Amino acid sequence: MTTHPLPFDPALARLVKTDTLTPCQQKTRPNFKTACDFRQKHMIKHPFLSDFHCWAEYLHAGLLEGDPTVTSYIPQPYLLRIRQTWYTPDNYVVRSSQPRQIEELKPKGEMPEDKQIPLTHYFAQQGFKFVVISNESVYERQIEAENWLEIVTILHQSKNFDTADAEEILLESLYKKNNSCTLGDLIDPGDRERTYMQEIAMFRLLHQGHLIGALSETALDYDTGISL
Amino acid sequence: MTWRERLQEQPYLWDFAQWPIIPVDSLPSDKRKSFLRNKKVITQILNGGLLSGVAKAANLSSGRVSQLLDRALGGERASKPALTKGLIQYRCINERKRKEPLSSFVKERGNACSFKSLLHQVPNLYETFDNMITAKIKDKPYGQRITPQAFHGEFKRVLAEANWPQDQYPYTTESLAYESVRRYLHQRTGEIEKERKQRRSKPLRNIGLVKTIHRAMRAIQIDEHILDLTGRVHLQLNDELIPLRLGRANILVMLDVDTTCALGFHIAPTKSPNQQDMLTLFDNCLRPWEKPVLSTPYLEYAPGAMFPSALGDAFPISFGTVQLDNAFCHKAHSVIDFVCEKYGATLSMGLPANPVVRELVESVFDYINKQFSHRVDSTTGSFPTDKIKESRKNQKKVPIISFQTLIEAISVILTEYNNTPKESLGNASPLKLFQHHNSTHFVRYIPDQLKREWQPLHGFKEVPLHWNRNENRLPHISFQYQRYQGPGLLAAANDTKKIRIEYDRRDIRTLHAFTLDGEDLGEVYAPKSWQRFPHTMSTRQWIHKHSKQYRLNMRDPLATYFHYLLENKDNPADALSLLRVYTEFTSTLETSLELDKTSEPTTLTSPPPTQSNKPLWNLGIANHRS
Repeated sequence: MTTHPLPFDPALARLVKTDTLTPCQQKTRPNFKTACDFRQKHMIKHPFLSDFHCWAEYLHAGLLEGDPTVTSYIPQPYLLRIRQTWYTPDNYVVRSSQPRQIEELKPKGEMPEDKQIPLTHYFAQQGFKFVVISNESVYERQIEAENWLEIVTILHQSKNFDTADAEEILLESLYKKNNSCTLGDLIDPGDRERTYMQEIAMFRLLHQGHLIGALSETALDYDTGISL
Repeated sequence: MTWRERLQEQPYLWDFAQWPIIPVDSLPSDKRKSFLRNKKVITQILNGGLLSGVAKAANLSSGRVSQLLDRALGGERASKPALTKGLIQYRCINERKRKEPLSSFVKERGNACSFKSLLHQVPNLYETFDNMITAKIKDKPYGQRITPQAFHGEFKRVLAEANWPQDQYPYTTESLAYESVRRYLHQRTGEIEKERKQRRSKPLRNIGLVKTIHRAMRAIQIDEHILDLTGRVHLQLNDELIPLRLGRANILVMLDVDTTCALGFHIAPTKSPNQQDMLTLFDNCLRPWEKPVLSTPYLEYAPGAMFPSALGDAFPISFGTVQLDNAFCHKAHSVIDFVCEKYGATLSMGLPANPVVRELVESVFDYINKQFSHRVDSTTGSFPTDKIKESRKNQKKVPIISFQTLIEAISVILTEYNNTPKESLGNASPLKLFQHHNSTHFVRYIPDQLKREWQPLHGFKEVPLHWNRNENRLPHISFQYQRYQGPGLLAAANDTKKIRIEYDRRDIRTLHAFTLDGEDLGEVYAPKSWQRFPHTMSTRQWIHKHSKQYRLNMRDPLATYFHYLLENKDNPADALSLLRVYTEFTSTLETSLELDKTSEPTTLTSPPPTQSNKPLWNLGIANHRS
């Protein structure tokens, strides 16, 4: 392979073509919806009905929701043409103070080189980073991903509630409790209606990264630890 | 390989505890004594006993003991030793082979293992058989529907092609080895299928079957099933009872996956359920369940049997992941909107033709069949030639089971299912486990305010407000192929281009209108030709779609549609539709349906009555479209 002064090879980058680089979720074709392991869900960092074409993509979206450095992401962001074939990447991820990342999920992280190399050069040309993530690395964090997806469900249901006051009170009470507590300390299992706003405030702070929850080992429960 | 060499290579076999266990009582009584003796001999030798001493004690020769050890431990180096199996008297250890030449007319030598030998001796016989079976298994276009006769025919053809001597086996037998060929066909088909399954190159896809979190309301499963029985109904029309044989209705069931608790059901009197049925199922599961008064004699609910929605406000029903198949009614925008937009749940369609993902709901259909559908005489059975199917004699009569009994029986069965302890749940009933999860674990909660707002059968829509002043008519909105008018629209027509309407899918004769700012504009009404009976969106859609095909009179479409169904009531499918439409039309009536009677006419130009909120219908005004 010849070396170039540029961080990408223009000849390889030219193999990829698209009409626009404005990321926007590509509509899933009805035939493909039926053929794949299709899932749909309203997310928070992609606040629309998001399409996922496999179990790994769905779990990965949950992990992105729980990553405080990720500010937003878009599933199936572009429709690209590599030589004569159409290709849609899995995710467009925006992280604070980092270049935009285009992600592709594949079993064992193996992608055919005739696609991966042109895509890497093309996105490098645009200032983006193209990465291939293995499905197995996502499955390893299944519990964490499912916990975050549960939090996303709760936050979406309560999207119209204003919890600014409750969030402030919650942060104050956490300072008083040596910066940590459990979910059971904030939620009254006997009267969920009474502590509902506090519950939502806590999940919003968790989602925004102001609080840290022990979500990677066990399912979300009353004994789940929460800390500042 | 001798027994000594085997023990040197695999020293763990010195320990008799490592040998497979064969219970003595599993053997025939005449072989138990010798088996126990052999076992005793082997154990003593493995524990360091002298061969000659052990043989003497067992009253055997040393050679016999050595032979026994070779039988248990010897054999080919690559193959596994027989071990305990070798201690059973006369048990065949090695694969049987024919040692002698094949039998012929010159010299009869018996036919044992002759066919197996023939497979290797006749050129292309083995390959031809394998190709034939493989083509069938792989569903190749040139594959045959292999019967033992066809397979035997191919056997004879290959023998003739190979010029096999006519005085040798199989020509020495009367049937030309037909039975051996038949047995080989079945044995080899099984072997090839097994090999193909083991050779699966792709690993199974991970589709989320491995559950790491067990929690009530984590995931629910929904599916439809055509009930395996036909029912009866007596329609009360114009003070007359019409007996009808119904077609097979559909049942829609919703189950909680981790607690296996049935959340509710809906019997749709139709062959193909639609989005309205799906939303009715959601409504049935979310609305607090009240024990209905059962009209069927001797049928009653078990104590404590109920659906979870009856448990009260402390156990609100919500959805995490909704697992469905790829049916059209599951992909309706109204269903996606309710599940994903309102409840924020995940809609999971699963892989096509893979019902294993929803095995729980499929098993419940089997439970319903066993408990009810297959027990009544009017059952259709599981397949067209099922022996339990209703007899031809009874098929000519109206079944005994009424539609009401069907609904009540399934309600009783599913509530009892919830209340029956299961071994897989640690001997807890699904309902108890559901309560336990809700009271001791964190399960998402829906506040009262949201529960009231999220009604599956109520919808909102933004629609343009039309007012063409040149046409000299009142402002209107378009909804479900019709123009709706109301006094409130006139006030808003100057200021706004769009309004918001709220509708109930079960009765779309009237809608409630609001401005986009939330100001109440009152009710708007469908044309008077559609005011006669309450009707659902799906009924109106059906009438519009099929009005030309069935030449329905659109001056009074609802009655015309009912008349059309009434004329075809002998067809069970139409009888089922008749029941559905009848239920819709009489949903607000306390008396029976009166189809041909007319009430006092009202003037067409009069505005809709504001006190009763619903205009009176009569045939006179139905003839004039507004």
